Amino acid sequence: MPPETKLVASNEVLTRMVGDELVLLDLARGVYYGLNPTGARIWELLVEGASIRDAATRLAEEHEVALEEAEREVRRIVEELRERELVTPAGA
Amino acid sequence: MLASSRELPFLPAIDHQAPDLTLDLERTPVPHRNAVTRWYERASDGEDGGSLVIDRSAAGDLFLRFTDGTEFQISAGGRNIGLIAAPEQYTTGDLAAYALGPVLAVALHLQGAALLHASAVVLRNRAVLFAGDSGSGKSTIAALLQREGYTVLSDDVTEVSETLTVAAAMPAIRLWPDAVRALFGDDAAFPDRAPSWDKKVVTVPSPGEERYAVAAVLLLDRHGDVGALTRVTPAVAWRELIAHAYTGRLPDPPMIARIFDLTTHIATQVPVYRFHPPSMAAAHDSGALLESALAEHLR
Repeated sequence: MPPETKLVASNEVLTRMVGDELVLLDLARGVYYGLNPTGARIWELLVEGASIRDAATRLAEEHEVALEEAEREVRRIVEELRERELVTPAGA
Repeated sequence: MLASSRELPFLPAIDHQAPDLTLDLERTPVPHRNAVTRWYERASDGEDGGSLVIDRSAAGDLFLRFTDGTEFQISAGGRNIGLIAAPEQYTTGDLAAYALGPVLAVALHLQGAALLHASAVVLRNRAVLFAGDSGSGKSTIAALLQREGYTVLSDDVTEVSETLTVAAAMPAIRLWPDAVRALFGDDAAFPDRAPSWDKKVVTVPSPGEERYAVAAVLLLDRHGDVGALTRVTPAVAWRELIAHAYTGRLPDPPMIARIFDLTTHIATQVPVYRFHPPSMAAAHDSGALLESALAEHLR
């Protein structure tokens, strides 16, 4: 995926913050997921409309890590979310 | 409010114009079932009466069939429960065990109630929930606190409202036979709730229609020191609560969403602890000890 790709959350997903974790319910399958605080922050940035690169830039600033490292983490989460059809690339 | 076609040994006779739910325990075969589809199937887990199959008609009526051939119909919307078939030797008490256990839970689910696999007891005018799997001691701790004079709201399955309150469920309590002996000395006086479940029934005075705010949830856990309470994080609490959602596996997206809401709400709003319950024989002053340990939440 190009770094400028934006993602859209599935209509079938409900999310709630529980403590510092984000829990997700895939209503279509009746399956629950949890995202740790970093994953939760990435989800939040993506559903607010940030591209993969934008999200990585924000994450790098907030966690004081290299942009490449932050982008790897964003892409890893995006892949996991896409595999489970919790997000799709915008316009796809 | 529940109306029954037969007088059940542990339910007061109810004369009510418009009950929330009617229960008919006369065997009434349903010969023609149009266009039913398999709605839910649970393999036997060695507890709670074995396997369960639920078929659903196009109109939304449910047909529940248990391992032993006992079969119930629940009307769409969950207002009426009717017995279709059961082994001939089953007593009214046996049939009531099914009807007031898993069958009632599914009916309440259809009515929109979110149910947790937990018992609930009133401590200082607030509800404390004891959540756990079958055999974890939910009924036993409820019975123990009842013996000490506390009000038991439910012993197995608890309905929690969106505003996090609990009302009394059934005026009966199920106990493992060992618990009955330890509590009351002799189990002969108590009817079997159901032959395959190996539990006994004891009548509990009905506490009435009042609702109690949930002050704490205790996850029954036999690790650690007996009586110890260990607070868990909201994320851990939520995972445990969702695992104890009684009808959370039924294929019903609106209710799955409600249960998700309720469990995340409890996990973030209510203190949740792991609790190693005391044994029946050794326990005394359990309620006072819990009141003291949970004092900050019971104000």
